Amino acid sequence: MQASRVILLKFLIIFPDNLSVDDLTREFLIESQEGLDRMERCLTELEDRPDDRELIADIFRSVHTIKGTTGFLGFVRLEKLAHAGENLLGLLRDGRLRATQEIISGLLALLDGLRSILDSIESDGNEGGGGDDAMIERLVVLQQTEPSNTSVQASPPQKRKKSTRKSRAKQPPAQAAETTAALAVLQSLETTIDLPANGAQDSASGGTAARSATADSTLRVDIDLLNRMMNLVGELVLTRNQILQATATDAGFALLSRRLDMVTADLRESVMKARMQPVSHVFAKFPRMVRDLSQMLNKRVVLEMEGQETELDKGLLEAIKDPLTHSVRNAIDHGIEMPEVREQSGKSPEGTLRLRAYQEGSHVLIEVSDDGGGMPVERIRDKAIERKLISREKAAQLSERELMQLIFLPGFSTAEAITNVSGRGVGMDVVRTNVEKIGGKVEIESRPGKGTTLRLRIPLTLAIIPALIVRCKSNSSSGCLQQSFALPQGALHELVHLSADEASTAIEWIENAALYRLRGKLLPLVFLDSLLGHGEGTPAHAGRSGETYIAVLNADGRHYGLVVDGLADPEEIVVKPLSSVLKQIALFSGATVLGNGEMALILDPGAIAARAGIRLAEETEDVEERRELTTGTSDEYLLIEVGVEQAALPLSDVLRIERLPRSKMERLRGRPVLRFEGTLLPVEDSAGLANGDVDGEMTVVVCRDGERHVGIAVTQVLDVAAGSTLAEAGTEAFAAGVTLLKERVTGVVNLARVPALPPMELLPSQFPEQEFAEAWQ
Amino acid sequence: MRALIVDDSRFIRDYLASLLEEQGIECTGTINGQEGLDCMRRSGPYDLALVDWNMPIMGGLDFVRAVRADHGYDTMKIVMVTTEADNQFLEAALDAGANEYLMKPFDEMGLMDKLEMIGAIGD
Repeated sequence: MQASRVILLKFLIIFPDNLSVDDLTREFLIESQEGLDRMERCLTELEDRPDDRELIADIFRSVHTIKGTTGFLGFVRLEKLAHAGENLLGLLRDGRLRATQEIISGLLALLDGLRSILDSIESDGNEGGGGDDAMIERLVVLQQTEPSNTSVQASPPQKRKKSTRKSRAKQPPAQAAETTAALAVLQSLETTIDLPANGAQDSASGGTAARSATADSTLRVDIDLLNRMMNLVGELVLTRNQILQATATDAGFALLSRRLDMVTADLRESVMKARMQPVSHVFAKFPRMVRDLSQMLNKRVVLEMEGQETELDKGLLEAIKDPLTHSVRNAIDHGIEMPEVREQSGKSPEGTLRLRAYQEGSHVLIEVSDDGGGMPVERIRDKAIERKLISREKAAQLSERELMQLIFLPGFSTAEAITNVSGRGVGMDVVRTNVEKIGGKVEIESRPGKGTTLRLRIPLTLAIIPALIVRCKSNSSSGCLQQSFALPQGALHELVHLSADEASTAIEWIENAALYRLRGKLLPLVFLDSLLGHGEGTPAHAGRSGETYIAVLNADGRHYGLVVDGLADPEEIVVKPLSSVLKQIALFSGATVLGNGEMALILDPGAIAARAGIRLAEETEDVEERRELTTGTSDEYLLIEVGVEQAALPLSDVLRIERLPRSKMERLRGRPVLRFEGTLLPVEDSAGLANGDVDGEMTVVVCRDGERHVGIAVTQVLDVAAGSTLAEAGTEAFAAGVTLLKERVTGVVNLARVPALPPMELLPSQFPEQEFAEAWQ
Repeated sequence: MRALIVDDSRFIRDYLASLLEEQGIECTGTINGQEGLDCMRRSGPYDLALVDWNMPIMGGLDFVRAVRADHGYDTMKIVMVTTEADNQFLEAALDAGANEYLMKPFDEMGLMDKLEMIGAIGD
């Protein structure tokens, strides 16, 4: 170390003023890291094409360049290691050796070794302690490998993996390294702009730069600088908004401000584009990871990647690195089965892991899909119960889709479940949190035996978002104030306007829960004013006065309506971080300045839903049917359709409306039954709805009949309506009474007539609990 | 005086340029032999070329051969910049018409010595 310092000092003296040792070292680090990234990519490809001379030449060059430049900076350890690698690679390049599995593994280990030294240089300027003798020895031994003959001399694979993992674990996250390095270089932007950019040679090198698209046509830009530019553009956007409002009345100014508007929009777009990077930056490390993991687990996995050119904001790309890595680990560890198991179930022993990125509107979607065994829903349920994340009763009510969501609960994965591969103390809850932190969403789809797809939905950018400005009245002592809030458009589905008359009648109350019927579906409502503590307590809203708007939101799988007092124009808002005091309120995701100069807090639809206790929607389309209808007034009825007939159920007896796959219906002595909260539910199915397509779904209304529960199979739930019972009319076999609903005579279902179940001892036994060997984290 | 730097390492290009510009030599960087040739074709002969050995697309040896095949470039001095791993091929480069070679790592003094030797700079 001492020696290299001396050399460094020597160089310090002779270097021209404008290029310091630090600059050169940074340059060296960036170039070397790029080289190693390329080497990693090539090495994984080399496994498939061990005789590809181009690949070998590429890998050789990466190591060669490091070796060639490291001497300038006096990094002796690095030079020695790179030199040993270069010798081995030289033999490969000259065709005197063939790239066997062992050699590739050795080169991967070399890659790790070089990386860890570079990381160390980056963090403190020193190469770090530790010897590379074993590694160098290994590379030397590999040089003696007979061509096309696998040597057993080299370290056994077992050992390799260990050392690989160890050295990888020591590495600080690569992204941090890149960022710091890029940042550093930009501090000396003038001097590090590539040579062809130097004035006089511009014309000479114009074509050169254009041709070498990857190497020199791009300019490294400091992230801090970009952030600053983004902030400035943000300010410009705000100023523009203010000018637009201020000049709305002046015709001469209007033209001018329209131009400002256009220029600002263009500029904003360009700066945002400058921050975009292809997802291949993140994808690039997966071939290696998949290779290492599958070897370690003795699984066979083919990695397919699609849409690598899809671009995403640099900051967001960094943010999804870890969640994505974790998802890939999970897919290999838990998703894809062992080759034998796969063969037994008639699949190819080789599992396929697919990474796919594509843009959809203002979002980039990244999918991690495997063709493995799918998620073990029953085990997830049992584990969640075992971990006391959910009660047994509640679990029984959940659909498969809801059960899958349990893996996102904090504490779902615990120490016992941590395996070598997946377990790094990171559970799916962290994946979800991280993705939601950047305004994204995680979706999961799984089919037993077919595989699982995890989908990350990431907004293109975060800094500037379209938002709807909503207003909320606050009846403070100082009078009636209107406060503005920004509602991100991403979560907004539609807006409903209720006139003062409608508002008082259209919002229905069931106990303390407010509901609105949107195209026949019940939408739970959250009142912004009472949420903020402005209102006087919920039921008082029953007598709301004045115009009301409902913003129909979908956030984190929760579907609900946010009731606000007024709407303003949609605006592009610049998201500013919140102070920690406001963060604690946990209803806001940021703050912004509006066009009229007013400050506005940005509402966080997900947090609001969570605060208000909105349930997860089972299916985005069928939200309302899962709404629990608790005790209502006895005069209210649930209007249902059974076959071609309409009928009514007293709302007070309705416990819940269950939408379920038809395959869940079972038969007991020819009668349809349903397992429900650990008991069997007799189901009245007068229209034979359970006999339809087994893969389809059906709706069952669960009702209370005295001490027992019964289910009524219905074609659909139509409405909730108030009705008055007509006296002495129950002549129909189906009906317990007749009621006048919506001015139509409707039969009321006689729950007591639903036949009871056969004696208990004849009940079919519960399915044996399946073993719980592994768990989704 | 104009120098052409042909090297796929940005580090080396910048380092060389910083040393040469100190001497008042104007530098152009290119990333491989082919780019170097294209650059010469566009902007006329250079006085000096510093050429790396191992580069993608067109390496240093092929570059030297191509340059020497064209007598329009006869006055251009070529210095091969090599590492010891390249050294075994050095003779081939000198045979092909390179004027001198420079071993990596080099410092300012080493570079200036070589440039004086080939008469690219006076003392």
